[in-house]
Amino acid sequence: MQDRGPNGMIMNRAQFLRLLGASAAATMMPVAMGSGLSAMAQESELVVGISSDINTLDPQMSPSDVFRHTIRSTVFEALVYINPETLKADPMLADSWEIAPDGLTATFKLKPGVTWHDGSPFTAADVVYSLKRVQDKNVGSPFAPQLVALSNVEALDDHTVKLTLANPVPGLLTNLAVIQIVKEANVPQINTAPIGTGPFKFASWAPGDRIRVERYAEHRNAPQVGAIEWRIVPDSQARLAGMQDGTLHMVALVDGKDVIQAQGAGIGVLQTKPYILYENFNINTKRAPFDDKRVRQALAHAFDRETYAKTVWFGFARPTINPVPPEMATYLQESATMYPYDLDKAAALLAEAGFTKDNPLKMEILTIQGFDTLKSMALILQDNLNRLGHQVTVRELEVTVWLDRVLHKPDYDITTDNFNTGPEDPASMFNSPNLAPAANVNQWNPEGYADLVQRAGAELDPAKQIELYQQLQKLILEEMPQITVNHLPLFFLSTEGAKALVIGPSGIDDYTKVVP
Amino acid sequence: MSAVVQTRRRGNAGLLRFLIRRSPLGLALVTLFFLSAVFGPHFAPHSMTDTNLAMALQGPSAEHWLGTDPLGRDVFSRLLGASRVAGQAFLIVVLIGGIAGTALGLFAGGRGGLIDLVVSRVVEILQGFPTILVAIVIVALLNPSLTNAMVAVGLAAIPDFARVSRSVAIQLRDREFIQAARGLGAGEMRILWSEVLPNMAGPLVVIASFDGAQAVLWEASLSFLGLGVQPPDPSFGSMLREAQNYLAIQPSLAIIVGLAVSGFILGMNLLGDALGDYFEQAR
Repeated sequence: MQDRGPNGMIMNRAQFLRLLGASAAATMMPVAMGSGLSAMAQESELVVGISSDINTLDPQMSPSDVFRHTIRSTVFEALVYINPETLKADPMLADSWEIAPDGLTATFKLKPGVTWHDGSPFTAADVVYSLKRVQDKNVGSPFAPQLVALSNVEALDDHTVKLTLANPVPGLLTNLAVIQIVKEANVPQINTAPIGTGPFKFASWAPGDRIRVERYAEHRNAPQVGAIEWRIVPDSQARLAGMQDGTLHMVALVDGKDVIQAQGAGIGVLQTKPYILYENFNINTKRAPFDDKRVRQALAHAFDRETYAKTVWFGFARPTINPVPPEMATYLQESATMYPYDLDKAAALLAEAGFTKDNPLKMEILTIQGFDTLKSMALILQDNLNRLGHQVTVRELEVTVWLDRVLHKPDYDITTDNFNTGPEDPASMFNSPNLAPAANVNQWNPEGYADLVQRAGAELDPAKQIELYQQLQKLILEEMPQITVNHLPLFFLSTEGAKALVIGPSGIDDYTKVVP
Repeated sequence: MSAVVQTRRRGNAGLLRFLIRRSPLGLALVTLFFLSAVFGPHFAPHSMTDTNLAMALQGPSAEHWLGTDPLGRDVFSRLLGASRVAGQAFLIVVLIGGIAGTALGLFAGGRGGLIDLVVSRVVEILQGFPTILVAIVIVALLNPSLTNAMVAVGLAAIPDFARVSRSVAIQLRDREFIQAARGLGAGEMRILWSEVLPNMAGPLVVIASFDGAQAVLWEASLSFLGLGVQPPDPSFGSMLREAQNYLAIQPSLAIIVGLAVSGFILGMNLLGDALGDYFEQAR
């Protein structure tokens, strides 16, 4: 939910492979993968191509593990599961729950008879431990913001857990859906031999190469497929070739050009119903002249979102300037089309802020290696501003360098980025690393913003909550701390059998019905 | 000594005729490349960097001779720009490798003894590093840019020049005309500079032609990885990288750029072979 982009670490590994020899890599990869054909011919195994490796096996420590649908979806489970059809919580480890009318306590009845992969029984104590571990500052879990309001968690009996909250949290179930439950005794080895309650057992992880899980036959909802193996294949053409020659059954997270090429080659495409992702420009609002909102507004006018969606995304993207998607009840009507592409308007706003041909705006747009669509975004904005006589450069950074310059020690003007919207809960967007008042990439936190986010998140009256969230959207659209460009579904390439995958909006996917 | 001068004289007039006869294709390809590197950008029909999304991924047409790329930029104009970048890569690498490498090799070969031993070992160590790895490390430490990338590749070209010039220097060290010069009272440095160096021209030109072609390939490789020329400037490598992603949608992109690079490398290698034959014969 707070994942940083769908592609994560792509280029680290991609670069390495390309060292094999520039374009030679493209032609060699399918051959190399073809040789593995006989090895993988065992029945009932699903092979999935992903573009980069995960960074940890610990499900409570990996938000930027963008390939979260690997270990987090298969080996571990959360209390509830967000159903992608209804965007409501379904039972997972919890059988049923009751939230007190004042919203300050919630009681969860756990499923009976659930066992860990080592055979020991799953109990309420595991839930208590797991939630406390996420809250523990020494652990530093990136999911801690989901549980800020949680003041106490206790086991009433072996199968009942009571949560006490400091203030009502309407999105409580959504928050709990991303907290995987771990076993205390397993935590010291969790990064090498994780034990969960999920439908698959962890088998092996060869970093940079493959991740493997196998069916857990004892699971109440035992999977169809005997094993899943994720292979790290950084090159998009190689992944397509893998789908064509049958070495891969599925490719996770691809962009518009891959979808088009897959369709042309007769490969099936799986698409999430909700538009889960948005692409945007982050702006360092602490740095002059980007502290001037007229400059930020001008940039919003200088990007043609409509044509970008039509050409670079081949029509698969839905242009918008508002990060909140129209499906959400809190969406501010008619806001998606604000800030239309208008270079004259952009020039006028920049001139007001003091930037003209004679005193050009100098800025650098960062973009991340391997994110092809983001690079196109950067080049288009650069070209438009340079046509107005400004001096814009684009710098493509390796992802770890980029993380450093943007997230860890902000030293940038503008950067392209993409982000999960969290379509099931309005609070998650305003508590994301892009917009959270406590700390955000844009370094933006005007007077009263934190208070508004807090009040909106705690409001129990739906009408009033909508009102508050619309106020937040108006603020963001006026201030432009980030320029949102579009909303996107997630795309997977898949064989017929693998199409049974259920892609969950909260980042937990259901592999149990999949066949290769 | 007079033999040396003669060789150089005969070079200018006879060389061109020899190359036209021996390797017309190589000469033509290389000439075309350098003409487009020098003059191309001035005659480009469109801007190299102006995007036009409405015209993205078009095939060849009267307006866009070689079609347009995913951002609607004119491929022909970008190809001209890329050839200039490749030309710069060629120059930088040959200058760095040629000057530093030749100086080292000349000195080591001419003086012999301990100096030769030390220089030769250092050169061998340098040669032990894979070029692309050294280039990536240097670019990672500094910033990705054409100059940084090519300085790195230029350093990697030093051993080639050093080894060739050293071996020629050793061959010549005790030849009669050198001894004559020594007998006339010329200092060692002067002998290296005005007697030995001119006699290396042939082998050095051949090495330069191969290393220069190699430099164009390295530049393309590094830009392919995003470590060379920075966007939006075109380069063979970055154009190929883009084209690769659209292989099934617009294959002409990859074919055009691929042909351009291979055409130049082929031309350079043919020309290099012909040059080698020429100097072999002249010796």
